[in-house]
Parts: sequence; C-alpha cells; structure tokens
Amino acid sequence: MKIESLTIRDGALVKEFIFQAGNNLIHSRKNSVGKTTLLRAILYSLGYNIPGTKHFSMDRYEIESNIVADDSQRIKLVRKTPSYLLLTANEKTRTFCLPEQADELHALFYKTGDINILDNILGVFYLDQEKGWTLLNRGVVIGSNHFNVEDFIQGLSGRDCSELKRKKVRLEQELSKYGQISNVTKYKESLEQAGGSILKENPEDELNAQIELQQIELSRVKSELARIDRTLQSNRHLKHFIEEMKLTILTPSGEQVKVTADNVVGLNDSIDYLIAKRKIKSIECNKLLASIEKLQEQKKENETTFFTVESIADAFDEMVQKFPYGYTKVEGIIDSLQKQLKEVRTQITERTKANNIVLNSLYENVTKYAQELRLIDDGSLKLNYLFTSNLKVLSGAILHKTVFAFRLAFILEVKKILGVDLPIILDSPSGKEVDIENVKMMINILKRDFSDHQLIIASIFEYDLPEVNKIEIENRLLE
Amino acid sequence: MATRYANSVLFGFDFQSNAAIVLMLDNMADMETIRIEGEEDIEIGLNDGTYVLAQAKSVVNSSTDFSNVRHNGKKAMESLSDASQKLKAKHLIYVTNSHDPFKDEASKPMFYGKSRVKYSMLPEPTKQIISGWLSEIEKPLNTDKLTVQVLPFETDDEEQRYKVIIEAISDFIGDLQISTDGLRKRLHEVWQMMLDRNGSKSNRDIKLTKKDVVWPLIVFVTGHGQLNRESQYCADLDDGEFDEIQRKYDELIEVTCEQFDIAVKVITDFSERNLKGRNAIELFVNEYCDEYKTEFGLDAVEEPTKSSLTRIILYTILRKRHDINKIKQSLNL
Repeated sequence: MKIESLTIRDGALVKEFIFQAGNNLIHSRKNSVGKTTLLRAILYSLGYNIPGTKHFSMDRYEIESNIVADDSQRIKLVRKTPSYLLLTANEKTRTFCLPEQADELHALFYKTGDINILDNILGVFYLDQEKGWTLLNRGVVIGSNHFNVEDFIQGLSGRDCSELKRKKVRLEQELSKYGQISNVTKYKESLEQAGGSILKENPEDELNAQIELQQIELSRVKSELARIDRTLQSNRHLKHFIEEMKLTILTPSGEQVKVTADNVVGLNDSIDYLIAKRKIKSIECNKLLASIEKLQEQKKENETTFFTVESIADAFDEMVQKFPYGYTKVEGIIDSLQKQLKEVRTQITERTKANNIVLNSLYENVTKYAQELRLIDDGSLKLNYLFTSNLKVLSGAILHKTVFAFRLAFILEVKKILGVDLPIILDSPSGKEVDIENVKMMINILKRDFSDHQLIIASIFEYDLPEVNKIEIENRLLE
Repeated sequence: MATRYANSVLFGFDFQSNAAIVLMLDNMADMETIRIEGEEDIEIGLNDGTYVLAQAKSVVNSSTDFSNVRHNGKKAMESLSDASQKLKAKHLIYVTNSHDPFKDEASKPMFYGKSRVKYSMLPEPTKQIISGWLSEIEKPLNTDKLTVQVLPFETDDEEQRYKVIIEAISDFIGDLQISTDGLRKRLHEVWQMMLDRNGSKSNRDIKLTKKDVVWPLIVFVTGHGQLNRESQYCADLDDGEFDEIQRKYDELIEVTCEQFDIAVKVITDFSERNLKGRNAIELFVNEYCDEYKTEFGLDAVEEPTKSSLTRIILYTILRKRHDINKIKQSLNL
C-alpha cells in the first residue's frame, strides 16, 4: 500500500503533499512546525481515530488522501469530519461511518477481515515520536489505537482465542470492579477504626416505620370502633324493642308501671357505657390520624430537604457502613480473580505460541535484526522474548533499536502472510539517545530489506536514503 | 411576632381546658354541665340552677413575666362582672397561672404553688387594687363570690406543665377509692381532648354534661383489660393460662359482656340469688357457672377452656355492674 498524496483543506486554503512510492522525508530545520501533524493527518485520512497536535485539530479540516493498494487499485479517501469518510474507487464512492466501520474500511487496504490484525496493524507500521519508540509489544500506538503482540500473532497465524479473550475481558472488568469495592471496604474499615459506627438510622426509614406502626394501631382502633358500633346498635335495637312492646308490669304494691328503657335496670347504662367507649376510641382515632398526617408531612419535607441537610459525604459514609462485606473478604475475591486471569492469560499465550510457524518466523527475523543492530552478540535471544513485558532492563537506545527490530519483523510477516507491503511511517527515528551510528544501521536495514515499501520519515535530520522525496516545511504546515 | 402570638393563643387554649378540668373536679358532686366559651371562659352549671363562672388568664412565661398581670386581672374582673349579670353565679373565679396575679408584694406569698384564695382572705392592698378595677365597672361583681385561683402551668415539658392538673385528677380518683394503672393520664388526655378539641375552630363553644365526663372514667375503671385480670383469680387460672385465653378470646369476652340481653340475664339471676358479702360475685360464679355454659355461644370451645371463659364472662359482667353503680352513686350521676 502506498500513499500518493495528502490534501488538507481549510475553506479556501488547500495544501497538497505529494509522496512517492519509495523514500519520503518530511523535513524541517526546526521543531514544532508540523511534521508530526502531517504524519498524523495521513493516518487520520486512512480512517484512524487520531488526535491532532497542539495547533492542529483534525476535525477543523477536510483531509483527503490518495492511495494505491497492493492490487494497484487507486483509492481516494476524503474525511470531512471525524464521524465518516468517503472512499472512492473504480469511480464508486462509499461512505464509511467511523469508528463503527473502521475495520470494514481497513479490510480493503490490508486484504484481511481478521479483527486481530486490523486492530493491531497500525502499531506495526507507524512509530509515533512520543510513544512509538517505547512500544515494544503491548500498549498505546496513538490516541485510542492499541497494539498487542499476542492478538497480532493470533491474527497472523489464524489462532482463535476469542472465547478465552472474552473470559479475560470479563475477569478484567470484574477485577476493576472489585478494585473499587476494595477501596470502599478499606475506607469502611478506616471509618470504623476512627470512631466506631457512625451509622444512623435513615430518617426516611424511621419515619416510614413510625407511620406503619401508627397505621396498624389506627386500623385496630377502627375495627374496635366498628365492633362497638355493632354492639351499640344491638343494644339500641333491644331498647327500641322494649319500648315498642309497651309492656306494663304490676308491682307488689299493686301499682301498674309501664316498662320503658329508663326503668329497665342497666339498659341505659349499657348504652351510655358504649357511647363513652366510642368517644374514647374516636379521640384515639383522631389523635392517630393527626399524628400520621404530621409524620407524612415531615416525610414530605425530608424528601425535599434531604440533600441540603445532609452532606453527600455523610450520605456516602452511611452507605459505606451499610455495605455488608469487609476488606478481607473482598481481597480474597480479588486474589481468586487474579489467579483466574493469570491462568486465562497463560492459556492465551500457550495457544498463541504452541507450534506456531508465524512465531518462529517472527523470532528468526527479530533475532536477525537484533544481531545486526548489535542488540545481541549471538543468537541467544529466547522465543519468549517476543512476549516480554519487562522493558525496564532496556536502556533508551537499546529499547529504541529493539522496537525497530520488532516492527521490521512484523512488517515482513504481514508481507509474507497477507501479501501487503505496508508503508513504514517513522516519526523522529533519531531519538534522543540514538547516535548517528545506530541510525545508520537502522537505515541500512530499511534500504536493503524494505525497498519495496513506502518509507515516510518525519525528522529534523537528513538520512542516507536513495532518491528521497523531501517535503520541506519551513515555518508551519499550512503555509 | 405572628408565631409568638399564635403560640400564646394556643397556650391560652391549653390553659383554659386544663383549668376547666380542675374546676370541674372541684365541683363534680353538684355539676350538671360544663361549658367552655359560654357566657364566661369556663361555665359550670350546678344542679341547684346556679353557676360557677371562671375567667382564665394565662401568661406564657408566668414565672418571669408580670408585665400584663394587672391588665389581665382588670379584664378578668370586667368579664366576670358582665357574666354574673347574665347567669346566676354561685362562685366567680379568676384563674391564672401567674403566681403574682396582682403584681403585688402583699398577696404574692399567698399564691405560691397551687392556691385558691377567697377575696375576703386577700390582704387589704390587694383588695384595694381589685376594688379600684371594680369601681370603674357599672355593675361590678359581688366580691363575696370572688375567688382567685392559681394553677402553676408553664414550660414545654408536658409532664411538668400538667403536673398540677394530674395531681387534681389523682386526688379526685383517690376520693372515689378507685385505682387502675395509668388512669390519671388517660383521663387527663380524654378530658383535655373533650374540652379542647375545637381549639382550632372559631366556634369553641363546648358544652358537656356530667354524664359525658363521668362515663369515660367508668369505661376506664371497668375497662375490660382491668376487669379481666381480676377475673383471672375467680377463674382460678395461672398467668400463662389466663394470657392464652385472653390472646384467643379477648374480643369474644368483651362483646359478650357488652351485650345487654346477656348482661341483664346474669345481673337479674345474681340479684335473685340474693348473695351478700364481699365475695358475693365469686360465690355466684363458683356456684352457678355451669348453668351459663350454653348461654354465651361457646359451643365450639373445648373444656376446660369453656369453663374458664364462662367464669371470666360472668365475673366481668357482675363486677362491671357493681363498679358502675358504685361510681354513679359516688358522683351523684
């Protein structure tokens, strides 16, 4: 794949940069004039999510690139906004929504639909000036673009670890969650040590409980009232019945006395008794109703003033103290998850490594370039070194060259498997601690083994490269 | 300012209803009615057709604030004079919570704590203060009928505020020789609600008969919980057995005892047996219990519970009748 040109449009202002298929040097005599921006603009036009630089925000410009794919197809890519890109090939224009269709778009350039390759390939051919030269096998390429050597090798060798990877993602998410929980439980312990429990009864719960209790009591009183009413009614019926009977009795003295409710012993008392009892219960009932109403008003008031009377920090402390699990328990779970994650990672690595010819080929090329760059004196580099996470032992220049050796080996492998000549885009290959001799060695490898690849270097230095297309930037990119 | 006014108004209503309770108890034997906000703040109708008329004046901070007491006193005399023209007054009472109701060193010692002083007993300088006020009234009250009564009534702590009122209730029920747990406070609460329940309404005219105020006392004294506990011994049950019966049959006992057709049969039977003495009820229950086993709708209840329940119901009906009669007689109801 070759980039033929890049055009940046800012309204009426149009600036075009022409690249050749071979060696290209974006050069300036001083720093911070736009070399890195130009490289990033190329990647942005290819549909990657790329951050701008200090004075150049990608979304302000329309950026167009013209590329030639490895099957000689010419493709025009126009990116007017970060959210979509127009691709024109064979006089047909397609729109790609980004980042949703980024893999679909890149599949056209790189001749593969393998997500593991597509998601990692940028880290193979592009070395950013800030992070690129320290990115050996895992990490950020630029912006949200990552590189992971296991994924990339799995992609190249067609090894499916998707199930294990899903498990790994799940475990990582769990671990992240438990990490937060661990912080909370640690904080909970510190609260307990500081002053015992500060747990307060939630005022709303307390009020609800009181309201509920009073409502139960109210319902009891109401049912008593209903019962009294029934008895009262029954006694009143009797009173009425007696009066209706119009009975007359003859007393021992011979006097005739009409039977009324007043002269039936105890009848009026039984009614007066129930009336008084009813009054007492009514008073109780009214008192309870008033009390419930008051509590409900208080509840309503609390609901509206809760966050003003109680600070968020206090509310948080209260919630933390209610959390039923302790630090030790959570740490136990974290330990177990870490063990599981380690196990899954091992399984992924093993599945990636076992009898993998891609890996052997990569290993051979890395060893070859490492020797040439004088990183090792003999072929003592171990296969596992491709997966190392231990970069601390590598000093500045050695890491710089190791990264370079790895990338070249990856590019060769892509060429071998996909048949794609990736461009090699290097931002400031002459790092701070890399001397002229080392740079010379690196350039020599490029000249010898990668002459079929398009090379785009951004630097303030000149390099001993044949037929260089030099793009000179004087003061700023859009001048 | 508005809040303080509202509080002092509510405080005034509270004092008025509590003063009414005290005056009602003082006059219970002869009382027929009690009225709040009638011709006078408190108007107690007696059975001889005369009235006890009382003017209630309260001060929120009565132990420290004497700025208005003389103004209050003068207004009270005017009001009592006016009311005594309309109703046949037996006693005219100026009731207040200020222990220096005339802001007067001569009478101040007489009003320490709960006190009641007739006009005739007041020192001369105090009489002169009152006479001065009365001299300005066209038809002044008869000072022979005038009494000044002080009821300590202050603080937001209800226990402390109502202390004197609860004591008055306590003395009253002591004289009746009745006592039940928490009776004083329950009576106070009910009477206060009866006399003050319209405090928030503009028309505060409350008129209660003697029956209205005495029957709650009877209900509390003869209340079913209280009587049942006494009936436990009559039914010869230990605490556990009794509690179990009460838990299961509480409502049944109460309803049965309150049914007049059932109660009248038991009461009549008891009268006919003509049993005498302090243990007459227990004797009746022991002797005739079996005759009532089918009377109380207890067919579904197994023995020995049926027997115990029958005893409890019999005892409760008779004891209640006895207590009702006793209280009615004591209070001339």
